[in-house]
This record gives sequence, C-alpha cells and structure tokens, in this order.
Amino acid sequence: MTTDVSTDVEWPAWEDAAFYNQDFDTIFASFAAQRRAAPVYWYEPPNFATGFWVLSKWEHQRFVGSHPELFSSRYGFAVGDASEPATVLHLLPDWAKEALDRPGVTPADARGIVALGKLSMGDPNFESLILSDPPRHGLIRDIMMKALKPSLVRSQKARIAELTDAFLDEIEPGVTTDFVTSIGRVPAALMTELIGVPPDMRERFIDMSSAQMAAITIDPNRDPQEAERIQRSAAAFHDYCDELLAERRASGGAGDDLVSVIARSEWDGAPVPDGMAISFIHTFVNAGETTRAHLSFAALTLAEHPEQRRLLAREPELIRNAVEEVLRFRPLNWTGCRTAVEDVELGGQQIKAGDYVVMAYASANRDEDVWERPDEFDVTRAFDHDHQGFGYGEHSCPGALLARTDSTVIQERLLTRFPDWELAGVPIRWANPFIQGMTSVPLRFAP
Amino acid sequence: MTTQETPAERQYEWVLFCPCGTRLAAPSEDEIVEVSFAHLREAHPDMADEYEREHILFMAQKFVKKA
Repeated sequence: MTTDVSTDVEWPAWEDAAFYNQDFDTIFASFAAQRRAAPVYWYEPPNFATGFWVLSKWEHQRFVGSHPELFSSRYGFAVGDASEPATVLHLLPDWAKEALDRPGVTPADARGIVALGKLSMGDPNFESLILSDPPRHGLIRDIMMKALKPSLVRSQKARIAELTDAFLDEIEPGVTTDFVTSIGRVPAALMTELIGVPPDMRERFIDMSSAQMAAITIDPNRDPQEAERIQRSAAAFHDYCDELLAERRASGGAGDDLVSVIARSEWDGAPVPDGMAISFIHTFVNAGETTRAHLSFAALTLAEHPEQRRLLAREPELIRNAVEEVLRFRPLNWTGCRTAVEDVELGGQQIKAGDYVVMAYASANRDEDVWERPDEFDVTRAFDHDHQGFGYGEHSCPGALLARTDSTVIQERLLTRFPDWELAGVPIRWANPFIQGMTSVPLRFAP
Repeated sequence: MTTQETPAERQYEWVLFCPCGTRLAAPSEDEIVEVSFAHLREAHPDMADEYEREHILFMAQKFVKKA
C-alpha cells in the first residue's frame, strides 16, 4: 500500500517536528509537491506503529469532515498518536499503559488509548470532545456550546477592547515590544476571567495552560527533561482545574463564569461527570492559547506585508476579512486525524477500515483548485469557500466565534492606535506535527 | 477582487460560518437572518430556540464578495 511518485521537492516528513520548524516557503512547497502528485498518499514514518493516509486537498478533507459515520474520531486526533506505543509509554499514565498491555488491542485501539492517555493528565475518567463520535459527540458539544453561547461572546466585546487598550497603553513607540507576551496575552487574560480564575492566580494559570498545550502533543523525540517539566506543569494545571470545579460544585454552580455553567449543567439527568467537565475547562483554556498564537501570526504577517496593513488601517471594515485570511495563510493546526470505520475509496485510493487518516489542513488552505493565488496573502480575498483553519463538520473548533471576535476587536484597537509597525528582531516560532504558535514576535511601533 | 480596488468598488456580502462548518451567505442583513434560521431549523433543530435575530447578526460578518 505505497505510492511511488517522485518530484524535485522533498515531500513532508509528516511525523517530524523538525519538518514543521523549517521556513514557511519550504514547508508549503513541500505540501504543494505532494498535493499535486499524490493528494491521497499512504505514508509510513519510521518507528510508528502503522502508516497513515495523508489527505492534502480541501475537497477530500471536507468529505471526511462531513462523514463521521465513515471516519471516527475515537482512535486518535494527532499524527503522534500513531507512534509505536513502546516509544511513548513514559508520557502516559498507568491506566493507559495497562490498557495498551491488554490482549487483542488493535493499532486503532492503541492510538485511542495513547490520545486519551496524554489528554487525561492521569485521570482515567477523562472524556474528551475531540475523541468522541456522534451521537454522543453532539450531546457533549451541546453542553459546551451552551456555555460559549453567542450572547456571552457578544457581551465580552467591550471587555476585550478594555483589556487590549490596557496592553496598548504600555507600548512605547520606537521601543521593542514582544507582541506574544503583551497584546498576545489578551485572549488568555479574558479566558481566565470567563473561567473565574482569581486575579492573583491568572498569570500562573496562563503559564500552566501553555504547558498543557505542549503536553497534548505526543512527541517521542522530546528531550526527556523538557518532557518531564511539561508533564509536571500540565499536571499542576489539571489539579488546579479539579479544584476550580470542586469549588463551583460546592457553591451549587451559582456563578456566571464558565466553570459554574458547566458545574450546573446536566448529563443524562445528573450533573456533568467530573472527567467530562474537566475536559471542557481544558478546551476553554486552549482557546485562549490558540487565539494568542493566531494573533501573533497576524501581527507578524502584517509586519511582513506593510501594504496590506496600511489597507486595513484605511479600511477597517476589511479587518474581519483579514482575520480569515490570516487563519487560511498561517493556520494554527497543521493536521487533524480520523480513523476509517469501513472501506472507503477516496481520490482513487482504497482506504481500509482501521486505517488512520491525516487531514493536512494547512495544505488544503493552499489548494490551487479552491484558492486563487493561494500563496499570496490578500486581506481582500473573497471567502466563497471556508478555509480549514477551524476544521470542518462535527469537530470544527467550538471556540471559533470567540476567537474571531477576539481577533477582530483586538486588531481594530491595535490598528487604530498604532497603524504602523515593523519587525524589531528575529521572530521565534514553535511547531509540532499538530499545531504551531509563536514564542516571540519582536515589534517596533511607530509613534 | 484585488487590493487595487477602491472602497467604493469593493462589494461585500453577509456570511455566517455555522459552528458545524457550513457557510451561509446572503446579500443583506435581513436575508442572512432568514437563511440562518432556515439552516438552524433544518440542521440543528434542538438549538433553534437558543438564537435570536441579534445573535445571528453578531455571528454573521460582512465579507468581501467575489467579483
């Protein structure tokens, strides 16, 4: 089950973090070469339990996203979940190690155990939205969507503007400002308020949640000391979420914060189980961190394209359009995964039941059959197709409305106050096969 | 549609990306509300009562329209 097609450009090493840490031109040229020659491609990474299919085109990803009855989410959500289990055991809790040891565990089962094991932070009752299928998935998602309802998001617009203005007040024109640790913190700061984290814990909470983001990506090549530090910090984050939930339950879930809303929500006529409630809190927190990454890419990309930034300053009604273009051009999620539950033909290839399927979202966002001038950053682009920046279908990002609102309001305030900026140093990006973000975007704002 | 166009020439439409991933589009505020409620009733009947016109208009945004 191999595809033997060669081109002049080296094809992606889909499992290797080093591939995603190259410069963007190299990465996207590699995606394009494979997308044009082998849009549905069977790839076998070294030291993985199994190979997997890579879907590079928008059309095929939309098909998978809209057919959860054919492609399950229960058996892994990231490339690394298909690692040879023996190479990632040290990153998993005891219950997951025991589950992997049971007789009859299939490769798909193993992926699901690895994925849940890393998300759970040791909690055997953890239940994640990302690893669920309909109809249960819809019921779980409804609880979350009722907490993150549009009226709540709308009510936060003024607060997002206030928080942004507070960070903008600290900026000294002409002096280097790191966007990631200044304005980039607004979404996470807002989320700590929405969750109801006490003010004196908010900075620490944001730091712990960053570690949790790193911990959900299995990487057998991660430096052991770094892996241990991340695991420790992520475990502290999980424990703190446990405490928050216990407090809200003790008070009868009487508050307006998101944790209180979850604490008083019901599942099958009873309170939402702890393992599910904790996973909701994790998801809320991740939303703050991923929006920080998106905003950092926006600031970086607009520094690299000053003519586009000037256009936005002149025509702020285009900012909403620009948010989508940044999500298309600099997506946060490289990939998303499913497992075929029956044999399916896709793009002329026979996908077998049990096969792992990797949707290369970032590649679909440059698919030349969908996008005109796909490698051009254009804030006036017409979005007659939706990009894959938030995924598609049942598992599309539940925090998309909040992220879009955060991004629009923050960029409106920024461009009004400081319409001109430039890079003041070398930006530092981090990436793994699942997701990427910025560690540092040093900017200098003009007076 | 390119950056060379002037604001006067640029055309917009109302677009709503439903959380389920479906893209809804209409030429006016009233019409995007109508299209969105129709989608809610068809695809998410259990959520239809959760939304009012103001919620739809908050979720919908004006996007550049393809020439």
